[in-house]
Amino acid sequence: MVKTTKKEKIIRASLIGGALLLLVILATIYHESVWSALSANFLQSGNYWKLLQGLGNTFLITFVAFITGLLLGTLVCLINESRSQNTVILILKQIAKFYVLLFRGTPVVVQLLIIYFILFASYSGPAVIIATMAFALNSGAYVSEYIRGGIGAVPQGQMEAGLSLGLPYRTVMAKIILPQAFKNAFPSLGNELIALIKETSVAGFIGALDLTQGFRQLANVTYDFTTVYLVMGVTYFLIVMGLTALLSRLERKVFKNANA
Amino acid sequence: MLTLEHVSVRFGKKEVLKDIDLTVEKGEVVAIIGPSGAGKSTLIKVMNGLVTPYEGKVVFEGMEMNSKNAGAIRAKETMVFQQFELFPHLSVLENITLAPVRLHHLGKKEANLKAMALLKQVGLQEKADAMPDALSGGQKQRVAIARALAMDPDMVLFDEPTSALDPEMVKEVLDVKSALAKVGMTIVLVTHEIPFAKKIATRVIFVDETRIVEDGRPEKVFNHPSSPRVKDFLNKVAFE
Repeated sequence: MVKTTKKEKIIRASLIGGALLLLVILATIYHESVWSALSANFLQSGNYWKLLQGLGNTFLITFVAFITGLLLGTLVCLINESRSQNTVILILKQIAKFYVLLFRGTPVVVQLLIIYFILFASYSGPAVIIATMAFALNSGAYVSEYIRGGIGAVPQGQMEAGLSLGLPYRTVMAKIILPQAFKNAFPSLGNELIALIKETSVAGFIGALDLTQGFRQLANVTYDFTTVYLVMGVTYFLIVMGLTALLSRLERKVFKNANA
Repeated sequence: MLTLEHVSVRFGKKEVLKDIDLTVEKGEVVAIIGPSGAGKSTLIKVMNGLVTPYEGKVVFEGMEMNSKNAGAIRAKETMVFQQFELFPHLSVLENITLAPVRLHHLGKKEANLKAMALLKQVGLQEKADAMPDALSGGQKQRVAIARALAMDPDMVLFDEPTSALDPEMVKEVLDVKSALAKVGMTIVLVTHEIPFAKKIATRVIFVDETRIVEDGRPEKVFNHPSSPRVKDFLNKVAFE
């Protein structure tokens, strides 16, 4: 990592300070109109309930899809990495390869639309469930590649060393290779989570009420697109910042434990 | 105890070992020497089933090695690697107890006791809770030996045990191995340390260009080699 120099720190601090000062000045001058715009959009309209629901759904879709994608991706990767000549495994391997190709080769919105309007055309339950499923399938394809990379970065000798003690392939994979592979893949998996929370903003395409959809419905009532969409942008930014901070703390912990 | 019959190995089109016949008896300490790229490491990996020959068979204690029994056989002839290959995410103690506990060879408590005894034997009992990254090369090597011994093997294989070590650390590792040889453990080691091979080996095998060129007692191989290739090699090594 490049070390932050003193000069860089000074420039950064003055720019942030300047921006904050500007904000304070603007807020003092315009606080009445800003406040009235915010309260007109978010308090009086009574629509904030939809926003909270949307926020909840965004988190729900993201986290459930991420965990499911992680499990699915790991499974797919293990099938792909297997050297077994068992017929069932070999068939599964081809399916797994096609799955990864398909889901990495098309936009997530397209996948969402096809799954909802074609594969689940006769389904009438909540769209959030279909959205979660689509994002989980999409994420799984990427995760399998990240874990494959993580496994590739574990020295070949680790597998040999595990086997040489008499441990079966399965145990060596589970106890020796995968823990190291997950550690190697940690930064990519973190990026995947952050990408996912932003990608879920297209869930509205199939009528799921996520955060973006909540803001859009609100704007359609108040017609103040400027205020609503700016607040929407700030909201996503803050969520992603929070998540990034959380992940980097977690990452430090993961890497510290490994090197202690 | 271990027999290789007409073993040939290919990597792609390249012939690495050709028609190797070899029997290792209980209690022998066999040193495999030879120039780099001669197939020494491959030979020792064939013995452990990590490399499968395309021709010939490997028989260990009466069992012909196949994909089904390879695990059980490996547990009886464990291996120590050139790059040690300690598991970096596990502590020293966990490195040693993983296989015995997972294979239900020992209970967790017994495995810990056994590991501590082995660590004491290699002089590292105070490092039980350390992570592998915190150890020096020589210490890693000794942990790797303790790990290989934890399965109570009948034979231990060493792949170039000293090549990745500082010269000062070589001695502490060699001492451990000498002690092992003294208690009658069957050992096969690939080595570049000719003096060490002279000191502990009961038998020396010289491998060159996919074949065993010379096989006999150390004094014979080192002092009166029958092959000019071996003479040439020993002369060069003596110069270094």
